[in-house]
Amino acid sequence: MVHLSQKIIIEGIKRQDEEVLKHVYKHYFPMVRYFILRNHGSEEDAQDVFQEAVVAVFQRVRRRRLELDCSFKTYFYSVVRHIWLQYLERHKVRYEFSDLDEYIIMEEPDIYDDLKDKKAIYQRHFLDLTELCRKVLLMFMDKVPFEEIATTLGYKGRQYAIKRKYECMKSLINRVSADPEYKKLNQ
Amino acid sequence: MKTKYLDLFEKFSNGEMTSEEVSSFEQQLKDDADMAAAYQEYGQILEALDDKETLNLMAKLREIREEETKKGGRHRFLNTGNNWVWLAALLTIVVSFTIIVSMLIYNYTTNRKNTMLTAAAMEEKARASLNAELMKYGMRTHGMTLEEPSDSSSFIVKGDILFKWTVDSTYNLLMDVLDDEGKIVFKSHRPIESPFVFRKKLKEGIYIFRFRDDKETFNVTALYLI
Repeated sequence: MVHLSQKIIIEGIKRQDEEVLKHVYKHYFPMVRYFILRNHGSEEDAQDVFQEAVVAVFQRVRRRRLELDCSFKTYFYSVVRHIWLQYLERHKVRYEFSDLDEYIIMEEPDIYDDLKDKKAIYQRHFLDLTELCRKVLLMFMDKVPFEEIATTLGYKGRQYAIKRKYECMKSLINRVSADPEYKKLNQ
Repeated sequence: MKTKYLDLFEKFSNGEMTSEEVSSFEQQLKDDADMAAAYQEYGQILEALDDKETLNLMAKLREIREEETKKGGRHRFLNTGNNWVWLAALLTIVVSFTIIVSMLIYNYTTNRKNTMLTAAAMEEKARASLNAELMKYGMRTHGMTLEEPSDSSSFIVKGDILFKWTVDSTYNLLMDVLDDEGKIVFKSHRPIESPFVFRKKLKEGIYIFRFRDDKETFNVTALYLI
């Protein structure tokens, strides 16, 4: 099993290097899974929390340089733990938390707030849209004129591209509104 | 989040409002807190979509997850909590099924053998009954010649059957018809004389026509009636 240094992992996450991301999944997902299943979560929760944790680390290192005085594994475990604790608190789950013995906990890994939670929900549902919807919205965000969006995606014209963008946005909002996590955050 | 203001938000963000419409829209946002909150969230969604780096990372992580799930499916199955129990249960079901099927096959074979033996036994019994019936009367070896149906005519007969015979004395001949199990299906009750037409309809099969008096059998003829 290849061992990557803490620096390579952090830099790799920052660059979104696929090999490093695969390494992180292979090496740390089993730990996340074990921790979540032990603490009232499901396999699906473990997958979601793992993704949120990697995104949180990415956003942290993107903002400013991350220098750890512990192993990356310990840091990552603290991030996962923090995300999962927030989830359990939001869902008012009465729990007896069971930590994995071999980790020292960093109580405040400095990564999260409410708005970021919603942002993750918007982004997650955006990725669930159809490929065409994703393209329309991303092109709009890139300030591509509607005429060009229509030509690129083979639509009849500008008005149709506008209509498609509206429908995609509506679909995204409906998906987000139906998300149980989103409802919890709005309570 | 509500979509009731989406038309307005979209028109505004697409830059399709006239300057009057923009002024009116901005005034509405000031006056309507509900609409203002919805617009704020609409802006947050656009902001989230604008973070392409994070979207890209999330997409990559999804791909890795799917790829690893596919690759590791079998491995994880055996290492996952209760899956050994499920596997053991599945094996038990398969073994039980095999045993049950084997037993059914064995039973079927045995039953088939028994059926064949039974059929043979029944055939044997039928033959014995027929012999017993035929042996009821002593066989007379001479004195009657059956002319019709003659030996040269067909063994298979359809419809009415004409019997002609000669007999050397004035015996009162009776006719019995036996099936292949020795059961009497027809009895003339009264003496018959040549020529005699047998008109009774019988189901298809082999029948024995016996000519006798009250002591001896004069003639026995087997015919296949159709």
